[in-house]
Amino acid sequence: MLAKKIIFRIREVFRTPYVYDSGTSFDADHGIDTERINDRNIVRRVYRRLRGFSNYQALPVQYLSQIRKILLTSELKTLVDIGSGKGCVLFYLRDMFDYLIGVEYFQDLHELAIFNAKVLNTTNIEFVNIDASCYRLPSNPCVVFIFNPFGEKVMTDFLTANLDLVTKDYLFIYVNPVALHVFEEFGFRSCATDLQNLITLRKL
Amino acid sequence: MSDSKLLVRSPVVKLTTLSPESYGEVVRAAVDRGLYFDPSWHANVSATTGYTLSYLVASVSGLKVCVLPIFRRRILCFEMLGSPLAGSHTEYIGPLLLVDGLSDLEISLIAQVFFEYFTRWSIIYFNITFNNFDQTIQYLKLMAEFDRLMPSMKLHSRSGLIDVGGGLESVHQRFEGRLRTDIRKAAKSGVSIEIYRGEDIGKNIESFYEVINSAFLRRNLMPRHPKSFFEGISRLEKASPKFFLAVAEECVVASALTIEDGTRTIYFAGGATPAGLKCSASSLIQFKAIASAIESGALFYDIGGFGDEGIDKFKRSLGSTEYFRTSYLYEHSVVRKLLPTYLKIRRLR
Repeated sequence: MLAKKIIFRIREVFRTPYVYDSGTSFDADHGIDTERINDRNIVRRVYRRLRGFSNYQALPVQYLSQIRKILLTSELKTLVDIGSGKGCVLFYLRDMFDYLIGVEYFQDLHELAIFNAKVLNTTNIEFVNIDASCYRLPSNPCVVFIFNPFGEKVMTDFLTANLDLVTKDYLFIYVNPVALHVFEEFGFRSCATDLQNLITLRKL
Repeated sequence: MSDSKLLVRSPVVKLTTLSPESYGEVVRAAVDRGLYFDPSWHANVSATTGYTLSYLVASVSGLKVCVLPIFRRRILCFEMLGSPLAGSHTEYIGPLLLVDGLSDLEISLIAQVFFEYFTRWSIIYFNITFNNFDQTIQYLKLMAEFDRLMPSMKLHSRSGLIDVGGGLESVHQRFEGRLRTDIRKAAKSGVSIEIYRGEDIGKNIESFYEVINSAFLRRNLMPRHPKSFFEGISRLEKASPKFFLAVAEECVVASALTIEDGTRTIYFAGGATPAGLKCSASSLIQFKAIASAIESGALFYDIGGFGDEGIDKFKRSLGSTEYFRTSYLYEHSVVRKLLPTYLKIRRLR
């Protein structure tokens, strides 16, 4: 009993001011860790800091709800998230697609995403730990989701590697489009642009 | 502290620290946002309270977009963030957006990096108050983002604001009858009001502080700020401080300090001795302070925060309307228990 009390007190001292309330946060509602920039696990966080990782920021859930609205009219059944991080986008949109793929370069984030998927007990999401510039998109048309994951060079490599596959049925959703000109150079046209929310839709 | 110590890394927004010199440049480049963002104000608070001043800056693609002046105190490996003036009817006005035309997404991500920093395990206390006078759409959106991230930490503190744009006559008409009687009573009792500006303030600061001390001691409290803090304010040109002393029978019976922030004159501190209360010197001093604010071209007179029932009644009788200041407060349970004792010991010393 005393030991339990001591442990409780120690935990109380190191408790972080948590934060996301149930009902307002996707994480709190589902018991996963996708929204925080830093890892909540201090050991993992130190490891990532030592490895120079932790370069992550999730797309806020309110933007995902807008993307959900955009996708309501789409008939595509596969979603590929390039730079999927902890998997926030995939988990949020998992009921809209038959099959979802998360492509992540950093191994630690990839592992966290797999862990989150286990917590959520999802079966239709596959996580791939690979450099996006080497990744080949599925041959059937799909939605490709990109949230500012990389600069001009990797974006060029990624599109070069997949240009032979991409048809006019593929839909690219590019949020915070810092390398949008690369799309234009490859001949993609704009379907819709929401400047206020920095969401652009691109098709060949 | 180095010019740019990285606090939170994300692919879109970076949160770093900023040296006071760089802050000066950044704020000069931005629109003048008033007293509470002035480096001289920060330096005065930091020097007299012993808190370390720090500037946090959020950058998007290398461009500085948002700055937050913050005071910090380190206790072992823990940190306390926020204004040391919090709780003394003193506002502290949160983040300042440096550029216009930020997208909703960028604002959302900026709020997220600040939130990430505030909720570190080592931070056991933080208190960030927003400037409810900034009604720009992007500032309101930033506040809404904080609401979304920290709903359980949100606090509303009440303050009173008197619209003095219509002139003294109109303000006087809005006073409650009892207050008007008190003002007449004070004038009849021979209370005279002396107003000091500039260098004259320093000579009378002793009497000003004695009255404040007496007012706090009557309620078994210690004054919120040390005398050196008021001395510092008296030297701040940007604040345009004015000291009001009510004198009756050659004794100082009430005092008030007002400062200016744009079109607003703020009643910053003040009090009355038991003799001053008897002859309603506080009512007369407030009347004179309002008159002086109108003369200086103020549009609003901020009577300060509500919280004490007796004082609130007096503040309402001045015809003030309530407004809310939005704060986000987190106190670790240990801090909540130990902080009052720590502050008490510190003051007694």
